[in-house]
Amino acid sequence: MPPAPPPPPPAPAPAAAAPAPPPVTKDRSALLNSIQKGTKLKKAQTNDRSAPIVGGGGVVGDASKAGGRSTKPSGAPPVPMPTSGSAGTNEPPIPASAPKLGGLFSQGMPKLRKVGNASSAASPPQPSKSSTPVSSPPPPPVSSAPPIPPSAPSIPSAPAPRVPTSLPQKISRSPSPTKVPSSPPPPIPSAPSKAPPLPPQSAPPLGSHIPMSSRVSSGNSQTLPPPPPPPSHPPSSPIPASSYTLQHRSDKVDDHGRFQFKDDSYLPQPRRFRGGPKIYRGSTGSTVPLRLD
Amino acid sequence: MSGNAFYGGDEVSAIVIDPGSKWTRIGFSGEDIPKCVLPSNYGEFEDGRRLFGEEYIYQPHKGMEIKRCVSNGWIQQWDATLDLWQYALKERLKTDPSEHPILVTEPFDNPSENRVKTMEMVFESLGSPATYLARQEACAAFASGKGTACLIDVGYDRASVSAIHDGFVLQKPYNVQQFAGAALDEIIADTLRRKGYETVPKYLVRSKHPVGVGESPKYERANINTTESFHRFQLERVYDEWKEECALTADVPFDSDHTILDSEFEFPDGARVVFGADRYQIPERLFKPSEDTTMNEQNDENENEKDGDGDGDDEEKKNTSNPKTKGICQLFQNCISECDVDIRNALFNNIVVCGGTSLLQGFSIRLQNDLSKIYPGNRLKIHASGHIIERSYASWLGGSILSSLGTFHQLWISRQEYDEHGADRLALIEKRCK
Repeated sequence: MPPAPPPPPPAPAPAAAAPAPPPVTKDRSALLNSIQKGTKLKKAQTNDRSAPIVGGGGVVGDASKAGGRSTKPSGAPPVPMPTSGSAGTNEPPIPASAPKLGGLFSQGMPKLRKVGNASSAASPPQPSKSSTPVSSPPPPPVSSAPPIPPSAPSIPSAPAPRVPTSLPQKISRSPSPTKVPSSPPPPIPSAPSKAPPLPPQSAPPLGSHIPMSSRVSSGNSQTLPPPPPPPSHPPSSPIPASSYTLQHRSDKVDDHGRFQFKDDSYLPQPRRFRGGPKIYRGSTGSTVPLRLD
Repeated sequence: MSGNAFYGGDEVSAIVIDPGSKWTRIGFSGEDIPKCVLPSNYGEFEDGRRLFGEEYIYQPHKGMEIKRCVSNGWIQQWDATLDLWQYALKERLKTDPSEHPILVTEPFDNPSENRVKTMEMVFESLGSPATYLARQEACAAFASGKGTACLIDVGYDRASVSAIHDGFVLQKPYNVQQFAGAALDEIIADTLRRKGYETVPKYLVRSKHPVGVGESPKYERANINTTESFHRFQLERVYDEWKEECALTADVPFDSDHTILDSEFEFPDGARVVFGADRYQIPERLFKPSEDTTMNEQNDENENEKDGDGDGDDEEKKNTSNPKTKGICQLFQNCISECDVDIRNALFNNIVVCGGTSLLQGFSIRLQNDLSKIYPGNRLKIHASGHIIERSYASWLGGSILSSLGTFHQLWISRQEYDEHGADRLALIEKRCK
C-alpha cells in the first residue's frame, strides 16, 4: 500500500538537517550501551494522594514495583510510603510488599557516613538492648555487673580511656599500672548487627592513649571482643559506681549508668583540609567527573 | 584522584522537565518517578494572576479561566509555562533551578523557534548552569532500555509512531497526528449527548442520592458560577474516568458480530448508565477513525497555532477526525515503509507502546493482533509495560535515565557555551541536541 506522505514539517524546517542521522561515534555507542544496560533509578519518595483514603484505586507512585499493585488501577490500597517517610524515621519507606529487597537496600538505604565513631553507635541507649550498662548483645559471660578487671583500683587515678574488652585479657596477665578501666565493654561493638562494619578506626585514638599495642580484636570488627575474664582476684574494696566512668563525670546526674561519657579524644580526627579544586561525581555511583565546561 | 583535586560534596543532580499536552512531569534525574506531576493547564484570572496544580485549578474559582500551556506537544504559552515550571520547582520540588542542569524533553517535530525559546528560558529565566533538549520519542525508548525501537505513543493531543535508531529519531519515518485522547473525549461527549444525557461534573454536585440503573439522577446541584473553560476542563475528568473504567478495545476490528459485554458506569451525579457497543466503538476510533460521521475539514495536523487570546483549544481545531485521519496501524505501516529494510527487523522486535491513552483496556492486545495480520511473516515483539507509571511517564523516565548516565555528561550545553556562542542559538541546538 503506497504510504501516505508524512505531513510537511513546519516552515523553518530541518531541511538543512542531514536526512540521515549522524554516524555513531565511540562516545555515542558508549552512551547507547549504558542505556541498553539499563540503570537503576533511585526510588523517589512521593506523596501519592490520588487514591481515596479508604481502599479504592489510584495510581501507585512506585515504578519499581513488579507486577501486582501498580497494574491495577482499582482495588489497590495506597502504599503508605509518603507519610512514613516523613514520620521522623531515618529509614527509607519500605512498601508493604517489597519484592526487590536487594535493589531497595542498594539505593535506598541511607549511606551512613564513615564515622568509625564509638559514640555514634552508643549515643542513645539502644532500645533493643537489655537495660544493663553492658550495652551489647551479650556473650553470656558478660555479667550484669560490670566486670572488674583486677586493675580496677587504679582507675580513678587516670583519665581512663575506653578500651575494648579484648584488652582485659592482656591486662590480667600484666596487672601493672595500666590505665585500663574497669568499664563495661565499650560501646563500639555494641550494635554490631546494625551499624555498618566499623573500620578499626576507633582503634587509633585509643591506641594513642594506651601504652600497650592493643587493638580491637583483629578478626571481625563487628563481633564483640571476648568478654573479660573473671577477675583473678577480687577487688579489695567495693568500687563506687562513678569510678567506672571518666573522671569528669558528675555524680549528680542519675542516668542509671546508661550513658558513658568519654573524652573528646575519642572523636575521630576531622578530615585534613586540603583545599584545591573539587570534583563532583557525574551521577550516582558514577566515576565520571561532572564537567560543565 | 590526581593532584590536589578530590571528590567533594553530594552529587549535583539534574532536573528533568517533560512537558506534555495534558500533564507536565518534573523531577530529579536518577529517580524512578517524577516528584511533580501537574496539569499543563493553568487557571488565569482577569487581573493576570495564575494558578497551577490540581489542588488549585480543580477548584471552581470565580472568574478563573482554564488555559493550556502546551498543545499538540508544543509549548504555546511561554510566560505561563515559565510560571508553571517555576511553581513546580520552587513549591513542589523545593529547589532552586539555578543549581541544577535542566534537561527538557521535546517532540521530534518541535519547531525550531520553540527549541531556541526553550533553551533561552532555561538559561535566562531559570538561570540553570546547563541544559539539554532530548527527544521525547528517544527518551521513551530509553525508558525501556532500548536504543533502537519503534515507538507507538498515544497521548492526549497526539498519537505518533516513530523509528528510533541508535538513539536518534529518524526523520522520514516519523508519523504523527492529532487524534488521541482528546479526540476520544470529544467522541465520548457526542455519544453522551446523543444518549440524551447531560454530564454533570463533580464540582456541581453538592450531594446525590442513589438511583436505579437507567433512572434519572437525583442530586443537589451546587450553585456555582464558573467559566465555560473551567466547566469543559472538569467534564474532561469525567471522560477520563469513563475511558479508564468503561472503554474496552475489541481484540479484532469491531463489528456487529462482536460479542458485547455491557458495563454500568456511575456518573458524578449518581446516574447509572449502561454502555454496550459504545464501550468498543470509542476506542475503535483509534484504529478505524473513518467511522466518524461528523467530519471536520479543519484538522490541520502540524500547524503551529499561535492564538492571540492565549486559549489553545479552539473548538474548530479540536481533534475530531476527518478523512485524512489514519488508524494507529496505518501510522505504523507508514513509519516502517519509510525505514531502511536493514533496520526493520530490529524495529519489529522492539516495538514500544507508551502514552496515557495506550492504557485503554485491550489496546495492546488489539495492536498485537492487527499488526500481526498486517505483517504475517515477521516476528513482532511489542513491549507494552504493565506499569501505569512506565506507560504514562515514559519520556520523563527516559530523560531521568539519560541525564543520570555518566556517559551523557559531555552532552550538556553549558551556560558558558551558550554565552559564547552568540546569536545563532539554533545552530548550537541543532549541533548539540539531535
